Amino acid sequence: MSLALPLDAQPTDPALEGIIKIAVMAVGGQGGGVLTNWIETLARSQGYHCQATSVAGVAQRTGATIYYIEMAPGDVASPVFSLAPSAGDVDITIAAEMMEAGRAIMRGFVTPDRTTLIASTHRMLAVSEKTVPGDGMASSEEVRAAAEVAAQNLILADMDTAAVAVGSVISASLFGALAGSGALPFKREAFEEAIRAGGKGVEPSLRAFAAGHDLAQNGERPKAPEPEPVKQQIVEPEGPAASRTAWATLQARIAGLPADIREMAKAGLTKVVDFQDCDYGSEYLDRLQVLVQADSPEKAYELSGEAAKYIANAMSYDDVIRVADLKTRPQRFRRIEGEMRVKSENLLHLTDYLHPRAEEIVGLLPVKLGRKLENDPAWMKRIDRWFNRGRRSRTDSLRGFAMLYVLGGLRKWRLKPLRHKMEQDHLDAWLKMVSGYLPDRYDMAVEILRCRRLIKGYSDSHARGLSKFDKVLAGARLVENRDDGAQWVARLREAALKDEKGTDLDGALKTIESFAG
Amino acid sequence: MLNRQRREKPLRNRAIADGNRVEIPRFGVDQDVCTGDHACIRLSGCPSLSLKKLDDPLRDDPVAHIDQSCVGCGNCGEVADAAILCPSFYEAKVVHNPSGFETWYAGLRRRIIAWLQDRRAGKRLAFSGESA
Repeated sequence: MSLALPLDAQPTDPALEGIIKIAVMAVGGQGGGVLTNWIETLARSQGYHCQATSVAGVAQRTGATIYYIEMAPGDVASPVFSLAPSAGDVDITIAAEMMEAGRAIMRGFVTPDRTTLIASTHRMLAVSEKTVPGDGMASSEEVRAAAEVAAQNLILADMDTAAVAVGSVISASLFGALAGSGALPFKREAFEEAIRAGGKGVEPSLRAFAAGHDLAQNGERPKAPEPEPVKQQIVEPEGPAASRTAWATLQARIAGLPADIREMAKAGLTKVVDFQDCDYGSEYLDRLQVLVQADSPEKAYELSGEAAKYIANAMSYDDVIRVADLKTRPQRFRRIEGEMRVKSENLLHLTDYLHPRAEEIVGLLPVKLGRKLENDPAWMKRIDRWFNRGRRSRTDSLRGFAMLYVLGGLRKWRLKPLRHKMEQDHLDAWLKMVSGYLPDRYDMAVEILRCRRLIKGYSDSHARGLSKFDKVLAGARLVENRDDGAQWVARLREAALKDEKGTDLDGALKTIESFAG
Repeated sequence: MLNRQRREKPLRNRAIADGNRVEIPRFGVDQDVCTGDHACIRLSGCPSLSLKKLDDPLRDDPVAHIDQSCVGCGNCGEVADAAILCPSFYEAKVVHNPSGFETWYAGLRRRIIAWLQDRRAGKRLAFSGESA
């Protein structure tokens, strides 16, 4: 039985005929307003009726600004235009950023029966992606896949790079892509005329327009094939002869490790030796070797690989000495000069923002004295008063540089003070827990190693990281005898990386307590 | 911020072309000091303060990074300092058309600093990368 819907019988309202609907999703600073003005000018110059509206997003990206344009041929008498786009009824969607394309698809502004989607593939991270303590970057691949399904015609290319390369802004290359897509019934010259009518930055805009037009018609040129990966040359470090001999000995020990983990162990060793010296590097290899011996080729040395990574990170903790050392290195000055494009006739003033607390100062003292002061609130308060304030240090000046240089020079004594002792104890307790799960609970041991990722940051954020780490490890104790214990630890860690306050983590811990209690 | 981008920038460029002394500030993050906890981004929300993935097998999480669009307002540095977040932030002021004395003095400072750096580099193993 078929049901004749009365809707079918209605004649279309002539006032709605021939209307072209365009939605533009742009992020602050991309020139979405300019693009809209160009489209409007273009439509009017071709004798079309046109109306443009915009709904502001938030500049800091909780959403894009949506510009909406409707146009109809001049022979349609008094067309009725809508103020905002509606799902399933947009002819052309322009997204000035990859995730905004994704958002447009989710809102229904891209449909397979009608929509031409023009999107730039470059990324400007949204606030929600940036604030995650772990890695919150969304996947462009998923958006690309969705776009291929959702759009009738699809133009995807990096419009931002194309525009910046010719000294302009993405709005111009998107306008070019709109022309190149052929979705509007106007000639290229008419588009260019609209840019000229705008009167500002005409030449660069026209160049970007041409680039966008080209991208829309010919697609992105396949990237030149990656040059044959040069067999990574083992760059020997420079330094005094004795250290170089010690380094060669360490290298020989790495060659004795299983092939699967050699690369990671090399990276780890370099980091640790760079942090302190070759003796410390040897300690690193000792620790690693213990776990390698408990490992097996059947598991592809997964445990050892993780150990090579996280033991190195744990051993090169971020203390005052390391920061001072890194900030006074010549490589750093060269990098900054490059990044800031300092030309030979310019000078560079470099101000570092430092803020030591009593904890950092006490961490530099010998263990006994440090412990005593640490447990004495009066002393901690006093030290705080002396040192705890924001310091803006001019690292390019002699005084500022000398201060950091002397601090960095404390490296020689680094293995004596309180901070090292604390890090050492923490590291040993952690590795003991890992070893405790071997050989029977291999997966559990691997997950416990990976939890080291939670510890990062300085001062308060460091303390928070530590407390999360402790919580996850305590949670691990609750599920250690379950078959799916390792999965639970992984879940706890992911939860801890998701938000700063640790609400997700606390929730996950409650779940665990409910069944393991 | 918009004011700095749109109104001050052309004035500044003209002043540089005229040979006046101009300081252009921009902020940066030391990528090997940053641990990638993103606490600064949760507090600051600056559009120029974004993330960068490092080509380092030992690092899991992307680090903070300030891109070319920074106008040097200084908010990120202030926040990192006031909330005692981390020592990763720095301000780099590029001085255009410095005076003769200034150039000479900066050259002297640079030579002394380079001498100190060489002195330290001679006593330790130096790897070619900034930090491995």
